[in-house]
Amino acid sequence: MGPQSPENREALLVQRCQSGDLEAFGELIAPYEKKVYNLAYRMSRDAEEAKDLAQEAFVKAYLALPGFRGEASFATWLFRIVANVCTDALRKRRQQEVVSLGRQVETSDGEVMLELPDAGAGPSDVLEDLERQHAVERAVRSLPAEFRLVVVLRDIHGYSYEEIASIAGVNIGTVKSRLNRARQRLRELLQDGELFEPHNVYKTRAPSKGGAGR
Amino acid sequence: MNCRQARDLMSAYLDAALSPSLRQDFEEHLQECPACTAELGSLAEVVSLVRSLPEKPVPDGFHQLVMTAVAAAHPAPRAAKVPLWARFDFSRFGRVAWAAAALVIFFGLGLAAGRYLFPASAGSTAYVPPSVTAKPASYDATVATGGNTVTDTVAGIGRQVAYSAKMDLQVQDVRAAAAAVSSLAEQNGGYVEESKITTGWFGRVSAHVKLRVPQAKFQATVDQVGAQGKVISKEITAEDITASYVDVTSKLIALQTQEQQLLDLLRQTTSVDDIVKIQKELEDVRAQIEAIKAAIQNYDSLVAYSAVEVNLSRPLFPWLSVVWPGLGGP
Repeated sequence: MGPQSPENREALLVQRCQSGDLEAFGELIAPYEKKVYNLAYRMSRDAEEAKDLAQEAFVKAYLALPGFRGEASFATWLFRIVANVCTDALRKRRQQEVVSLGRQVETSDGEVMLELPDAGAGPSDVLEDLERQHAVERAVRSLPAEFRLVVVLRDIHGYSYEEIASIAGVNIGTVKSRLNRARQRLRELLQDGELFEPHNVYKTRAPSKGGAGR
Repeated sequence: MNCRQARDLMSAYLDAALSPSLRQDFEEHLQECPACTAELGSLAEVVSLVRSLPEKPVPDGFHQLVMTAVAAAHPAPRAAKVPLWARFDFSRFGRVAWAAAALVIFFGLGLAAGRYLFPASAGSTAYVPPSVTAKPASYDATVATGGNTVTDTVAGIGRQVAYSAKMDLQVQDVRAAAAAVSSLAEQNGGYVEESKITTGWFGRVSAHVKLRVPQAKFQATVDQVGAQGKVISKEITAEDITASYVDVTSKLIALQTQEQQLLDLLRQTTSVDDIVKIQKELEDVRAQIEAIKAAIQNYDSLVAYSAVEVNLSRPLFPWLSVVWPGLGGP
């Protein structure tokens, strides 16, 4: 590790931040802004909330930085804060709000899940792709915070099980089982939304259209 | 392996996170179970769907937004004013250390008594106030902050130096001296920011006065204050805040540009949804502009008006001057 290596540069920036250098903090976080924002985006409802959460996480990180001793890499440490801010916000919101995404169904293990409304399908392939993407996004958003976090970290951010364990603050076994359950749920949700066979959607839609015509 | 067990392993199998033996068992089960094979297929499809979700671009101005929020949450730029004794952790102070401290005090008193009895040995170590090396530069106001626009560019900002002085003075009459020091503020075209007179043990009166005087009168004021009594300590600080100043000014310019762009956008938009969104953005930007203007005004006043803090007290018992010459009378 030479004096110009990224790790060293980061360690120096951390030191400068710890002595109150705001400019150094700006330099330190710049490479992570996109990842942090994207994690917040997948963990929140919309772009506006994502912006707020990401901002809150950075402020928390700045205030907590004097306590950062380099046990984990800065990136892992930062993402742990982001994950905490996002899951906290998500839990709070889930308690307050009656989600209107779809009707609630109880799954086999007793947890209440959302059954997604008809994913829909457009006339063109492009629209179909977009609809599919929206359906996947909605399905991810309907997962409880802990499940959502592991799925986002693994499948969108591509972190290893070890890294996810460190960010989420749980052991690897928990990561594996949460990931499995989260993916299985997504599969159930998306299958119910008939995403895999878009043609079925036309079939189910046809009678209602016909009904309106009569 | 049954279907239930296989189902638990599917996700790890897709991540190639199974041990070789488990993987073999799992694959053997798949060969004889079409249902699980189908389920694995759709699970793999789900994973690839999630993986294909596009990355979102960071919203415009996000870095600036974060840095403004961080700066607002930033504790006072200087280190917390915790007195030295309060930083010491007495709980770590073991018995042996207490005994050692007692010895030091004991011998210290003995030494003091010796110096009192034999004054000839007491050196005349009068305190020499440090000379003021930094000369106040004339404050050139290049940035107009009162109005709605910054007329000059960041490059036009000259060096911004904030001067301050801290002085401890011994006087015979604390109240009279406090009044005299306070009147110096007005004489020099400044004002009194703080003034406090406290009565301590045995009716011992002390005073704290903080003056703000125009930078040009800073040196003269410090000299005039010094003439009021015996100067025990004098500390002059010249803090160069050019960097912070340039920083906030460029932020202001960036924000005002953003504000202008939003206004332009607002004129072109016809969709109600967009108008609401833009209005909200505008509100945000304007709030940030206000905060930054306040910060700039604060910097301006730091530079334009130098601070002179004065602590006034009566000398302690004259014999103590033997122990610490600084405490003696004039």
